[in-house]
Amino acid sequence: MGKIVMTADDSASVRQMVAFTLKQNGYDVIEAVDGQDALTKLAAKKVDMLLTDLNMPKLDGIGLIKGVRASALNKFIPIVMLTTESQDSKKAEGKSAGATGWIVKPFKPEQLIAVVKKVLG
Amino acid sequence: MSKTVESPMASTALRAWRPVIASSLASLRQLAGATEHEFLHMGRQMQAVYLQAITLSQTAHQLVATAAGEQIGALMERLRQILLEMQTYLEQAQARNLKNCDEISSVGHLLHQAETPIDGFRRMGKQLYIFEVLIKIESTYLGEMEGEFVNLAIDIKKLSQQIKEKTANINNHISLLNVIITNNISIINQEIDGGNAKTRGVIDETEASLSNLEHANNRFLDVGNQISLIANKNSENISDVVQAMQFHDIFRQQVEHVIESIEGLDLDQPGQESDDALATEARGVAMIVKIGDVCELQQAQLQFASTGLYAAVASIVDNLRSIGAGQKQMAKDIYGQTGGMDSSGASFLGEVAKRMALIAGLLTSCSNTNAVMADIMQEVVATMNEITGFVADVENIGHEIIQIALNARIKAAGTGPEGAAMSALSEEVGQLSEDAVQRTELITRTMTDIRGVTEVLSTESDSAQTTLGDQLSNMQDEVAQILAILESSGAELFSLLQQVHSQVNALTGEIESVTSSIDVHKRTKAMAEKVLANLEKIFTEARAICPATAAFKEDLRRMAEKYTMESERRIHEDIAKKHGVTFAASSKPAAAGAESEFGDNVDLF
Repeated sequence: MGKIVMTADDSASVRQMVAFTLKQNGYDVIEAVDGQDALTKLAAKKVDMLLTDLNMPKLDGIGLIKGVRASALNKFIPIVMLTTESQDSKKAEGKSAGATGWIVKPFKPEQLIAVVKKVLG
Repeated sequence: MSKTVESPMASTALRAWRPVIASSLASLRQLAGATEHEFLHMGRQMQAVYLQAITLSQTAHQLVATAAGEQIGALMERLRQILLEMQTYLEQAQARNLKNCDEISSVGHLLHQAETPIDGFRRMGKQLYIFEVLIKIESTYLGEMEGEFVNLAIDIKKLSQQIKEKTANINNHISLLNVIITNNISIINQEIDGGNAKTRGVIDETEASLSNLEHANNRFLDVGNQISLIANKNSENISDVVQAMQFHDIFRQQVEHVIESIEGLDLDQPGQESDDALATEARGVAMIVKIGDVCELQQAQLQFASTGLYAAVASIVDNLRSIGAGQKQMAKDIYGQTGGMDSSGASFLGEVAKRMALIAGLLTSCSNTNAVMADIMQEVVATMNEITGFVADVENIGHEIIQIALNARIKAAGTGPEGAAMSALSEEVGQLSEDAVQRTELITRTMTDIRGVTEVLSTESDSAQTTLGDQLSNMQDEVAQILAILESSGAELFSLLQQVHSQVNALTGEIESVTSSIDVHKRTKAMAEKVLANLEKIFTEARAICPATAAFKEDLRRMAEKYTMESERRIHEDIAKKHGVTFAASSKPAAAGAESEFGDNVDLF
């Protein structure tokens, strides 16, 4: 069984592309439609990595990172932001909340896989 | 009750712009939310196409591995080897047949040597007949001894008759032997001459077919590399598609930002009640300036977003079509290499199989010639044995006559002077028989020489027939095995080729269907163009009333120099330049960070 990566994004087509890319490379993927949905699913399931959008309804990416870092089950997993935002201030905010990395959309599949491989060791 | 207070100029303009802006906002909201479903659908289609392309590449790889793989490689090596073995075998067999023909011809010459002594037998028979008559005449002078000598004459007559018969038999057998030799040598020589030419021709053709197979093998290796390149190109195409698919999300967010900015104009809020005409006029001017700023900036943003989405979707269509074209080319290359293969195996493999079957036929023909040669040898040996038997009989008869002649001489001596003539006759008969015995020795020597040749030939032929028969049988077994493998490989290739054919058709059909149904970019562009025209009209009118302020230009310069997204920076810079703002040549995005090992859009903390 492959490592489990969660993708949290309110855009279904982005989740679709992330899932397609990861599954083609042997990863199992769990999808969440926003930060709140991700937190609910993460409370019940141990995953190996989280890829999250920044701007999402209900709970945004920064809030999600804080929630995960405060949780018991997935506290130490790598979290990479996958967003259209590229401002340094946003990146700093993400880093401060506990993000492991930052990818600005659009990503190339090989970039995403390289980052996932890197952070999963 | 509050009343809306606006300057007359602002009031007129706002009245005209409000419905335009409202309808533009409605269109923008529709643009932001309407494309998700279509992009998801495209994403599913793209995945289906990609999986089909992977399956097709796998089938093509399998086909190439079958055509240029280890099994065919080993088969080709074995074919080369067996071709050499066959060549050697056929050359040896033909050389041996030629030698046998020469040897058999020499038997004919040896038989001629026996003709003179055999003719002596015939003459001896005649002489014995004369002696028989003379003995009968002389016996009439011997009184009571007459009966004894008449019996002698009768014995001589009997033995003379036997010699005649044996001589005739010997002659008949020699004639038969000559016929056997002459006829078969002619047939075998014809077969050898014909076989030589045919063998050379078939071996040359087989070598040519084998070379073709080796070339085809090499070409298939090239096709294999080509397929790998096409598979890599497919991956690049899909990578581009995955990247382009994200433009939907980017476009949506950009449109949402445009909506947010336009909504921020707050055009529906009433103005503050005031009796101060100057203040009212100033607020009106400020509103027009703000509307001009927002519409100009958001028109540029929307233009950028719309162009980006259009290019992304066009790139999806191009990339999917490129996948189809690549796969089609790959199938074409494969068809080219298989040489119009069909189910009967009429292919580059079928050609070799046909040649190998011809060689197997030659081997069989050669084997038949060997068998014919062996049969001739057996027949020659058997005839020789019979001749030898007849010659031995003649020799025995000769000895018997010598004995009779000796007895006659003893008896003639007992008759006194009257028996002198009889004694001389008996001596002549004895001498004649001794000559006959000597002739039989001559014939026996010749027969021994002939037997020496035929027995060697027969033994060699038998032994060679056994050895070559084993060799031939092994080669024929191996050729049969190779033909079976070639046939099975040919059938497998044909089946894979059919799969490639149907998979290419399915894939290209799917791609055509998918790409022809993609029109989301055209529809969004058409919708965006209406909004863009509205925004442009408004900001142009606004700028005509109140030109862009220095503060706006300064904002543009600041935003252009502040790195957020490269695209946004460019938009701000372009608008600023339109308003006469100049940038230092060395100006660089302030926050452009060093590119990471994963690309300039990736940061790992």
